[in-house]
Amino acid sequence: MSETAAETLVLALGIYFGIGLLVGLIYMLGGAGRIDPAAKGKGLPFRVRLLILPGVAGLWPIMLTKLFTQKEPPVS
Amino acid sequence: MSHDYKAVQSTPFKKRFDLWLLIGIALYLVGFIAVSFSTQPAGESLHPVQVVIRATGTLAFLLLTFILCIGPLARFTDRFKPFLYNRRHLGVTTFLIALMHAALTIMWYHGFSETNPLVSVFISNPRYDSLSGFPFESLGFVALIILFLMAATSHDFWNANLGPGLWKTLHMGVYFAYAALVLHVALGAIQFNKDPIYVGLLAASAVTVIGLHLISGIAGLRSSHRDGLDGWLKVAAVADMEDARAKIIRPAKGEAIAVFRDGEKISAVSNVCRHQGGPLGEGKIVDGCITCPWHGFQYRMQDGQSPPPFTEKIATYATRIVDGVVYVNPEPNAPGTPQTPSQIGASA
Repeated sequence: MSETAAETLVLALGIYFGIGLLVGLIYMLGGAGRIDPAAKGKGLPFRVRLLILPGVAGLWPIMLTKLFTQKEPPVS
Repeated sequence: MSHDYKAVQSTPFKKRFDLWLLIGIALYLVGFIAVSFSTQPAGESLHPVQVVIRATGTLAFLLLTFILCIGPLARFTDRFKPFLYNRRHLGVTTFLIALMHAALTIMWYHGFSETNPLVSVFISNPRYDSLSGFPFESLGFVALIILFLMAATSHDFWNANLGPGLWKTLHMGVYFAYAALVLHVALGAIQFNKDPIYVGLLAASAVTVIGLHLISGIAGLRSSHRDGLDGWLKVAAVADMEDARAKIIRPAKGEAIAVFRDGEKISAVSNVCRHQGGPLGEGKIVDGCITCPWHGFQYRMQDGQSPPPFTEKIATYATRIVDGVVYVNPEPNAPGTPQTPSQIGASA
């Protein structure tokens, strides 16, 4: 792998996870409750909000889509 | 089963399990470091960081190997079921140890140049067209990303919000991660250190994981029930059915069926818990409800519904008893459909 390709890859990963952290913050600050009624308010304690942050950062394209398109609450 | 989310669903057993896990990890690391220094060849000077890199790398690999063996082993013996029910903690722990291995490696081998350490990981060895000289670091990187996604989505929130299908698909990535790790070790550590112990451990681990899955798969196929009565599948003699427990039946098509005995009643439901796909048939009846061994989700025997206020439903199946033998109809009723239990002692 050339240095330019490696730099591009690392930059792309950085941008991806940077956006993911922002989406994660949206989830921590109430987004989770929007797609999952069980995660509203005290249903999602602060420690759990912290726990879901890395996952949202990693899967933010899916979670961002859910934030705008999910109408039905999840099964459980 | 809707509920408030908790950071960790802890029970006294899980706490003891975690404690023993931490003690085991500490003993392994201390033992590995001690043995490495005491058996160091004359003239070679291992730095403590290098030894910790090896210790964490081997530990993460062995832990992942063990995790992958738990499923097949638990099908053959109940001794492994406690590990099966606590795999989540094992998995997250494995990721954290792998992360430590990666962080130390990047810091030690790539952190002292002017090049970005992460960029250095990908360009320090450009031999992507070579087999024996392949840049094994990239394979470890891929495996670490997969383990990260699995650990980061191990909380119940993710199973509920990704949906069991997508969640399961994502977590099946562990097999891809393991294959990448086998190659990472084979093309990396073993190329530099041909110690028979390392070679043997790698080969034994890979063969054990593949072998156990093959044996388990073949056993599963053999136990697929095709014999029965008028299309109904034979379960077992009533006398062989333990109270408050189930026999698991695997039809040629469709989901496995858990056939429970509760006193003098026999009922059958899907073997798959709606929560995380746990094996209901390995659970037991508690307070009149089928209770999943993984996280305690409950369903009523008579209709496969979670007791109010919960709303989860699983499929039910018709059962019958003929000449002291229990049979089940492999055609499922819609989830939550009431199904009258068979009464032991009543005529068929």
